Amino acid sequence: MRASFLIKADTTFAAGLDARAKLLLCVAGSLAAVILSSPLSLGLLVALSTALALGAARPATVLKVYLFSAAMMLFALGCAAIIGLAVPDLMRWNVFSLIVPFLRMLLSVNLLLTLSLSTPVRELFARLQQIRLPGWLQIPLSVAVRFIPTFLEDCAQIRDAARLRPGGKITGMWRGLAVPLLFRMLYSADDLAMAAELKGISAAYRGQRAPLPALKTRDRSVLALAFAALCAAAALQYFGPNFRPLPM
Amino acid sequence: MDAAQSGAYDAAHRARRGDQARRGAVAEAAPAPHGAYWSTRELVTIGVFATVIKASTIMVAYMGGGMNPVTLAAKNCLYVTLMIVLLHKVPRSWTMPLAVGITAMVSLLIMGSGVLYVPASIAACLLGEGAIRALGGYGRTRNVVLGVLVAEIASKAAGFGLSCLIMREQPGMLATSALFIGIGSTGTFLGAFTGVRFMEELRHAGIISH
Repeated sequence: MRASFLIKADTTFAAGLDARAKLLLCVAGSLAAVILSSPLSLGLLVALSTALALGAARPATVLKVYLFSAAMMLFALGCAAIIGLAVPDLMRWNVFSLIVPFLRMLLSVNLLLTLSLSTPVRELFARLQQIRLPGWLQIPLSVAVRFIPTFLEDCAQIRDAARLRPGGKITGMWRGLAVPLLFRMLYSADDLAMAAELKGISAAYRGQRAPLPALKTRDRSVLALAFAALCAAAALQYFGPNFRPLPM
Repeated sequence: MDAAQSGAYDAAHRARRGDQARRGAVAEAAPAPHGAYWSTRELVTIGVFATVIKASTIMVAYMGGGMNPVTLAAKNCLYVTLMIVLLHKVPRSWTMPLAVGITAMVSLLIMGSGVLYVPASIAACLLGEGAIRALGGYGRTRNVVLGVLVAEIASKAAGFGLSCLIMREQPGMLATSALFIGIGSTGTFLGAFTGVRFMEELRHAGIISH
């Protein structure tokens, strides 16, 4: 993983949290993103999750993610406008109905960044092993979380390689972007597998598992705060102002 | 079990599979050592592809800004392409259901709604597995492509069946639903072509040898 993605893995606030607490936060956040639809309640959760993400990643990394999300939102706005012009009955929206999906995305992205950038794969694997998940689920799940920074690094490598070419641009979507990205993905999968094998991680491992440690005060406090935030967001959703979509 | 010993067994297992694939004699991979069905390398590859499938399809869906036919087709195309590549990289039975299960778990971490479709998706994957077996296993690209297409079509048929059940009083909505499923299926068939093209590139680069 590129060092600039992390501040100092062992000293950040998020790194001090147990992997189970971070997983629980991710699941709660993703369910809240599906259930809640008010921009105010989602905004509250996004603000809190941003604070947590800033405790795991550099502000520049979080800013890059937000800029990318904003670019996606503008692209989506363009697409929605075109569809609205072609089929007016299909698209009934106002600014809130476009902001809400992106608040949902930011909430999930913040929590996922916190989990993937501040949790060593060793710790995640150990926790999944301690809760007695079978090996064929532990390895892919640990890798799934760990692969996100590696994938970002692969994208950066392809961009750097494109800059070295005479035009300084990506030449063609197929040979210039899609095929190199797939090759890098497969090589990264091989590298991760080799690292896992060297660390003794195997689907056939039947050794003695360490007992599951209790959650620390910090974990319990963060989970209690998350619960309070979810209750506040639900209250805002049901008792706060109502934002109805308008015709385009 | 000793970790180094496990690594050595996995390496020997991979070498044996490589030899067999070069001879063109083996369609189905031999079981992994020590009672584990998949080797560590295969599980890591499944995890990597599950993440990329979920992340890329969510990103494309968001960029579409709602019911966008282009991004709907692109999403399906990406899914089928990556699934075809995964099934060539890990040519074993149950790889497709495991990848779909892991994708659902990643989905639970990113956006919980995907979990609702898991039972239908896994049932569709089992049909796809059955189709691959009936056609003669993972030895030929044609079998893998048809298996993935069967799984995708079954999944879409299940989705449409559910729509029929829920919206039976509104035939107009059903027509819209059928139209979007049709657009998604176009992306699925396009994905079969791009998957085959990717396989040609990977064989040309020597990354996949069978």
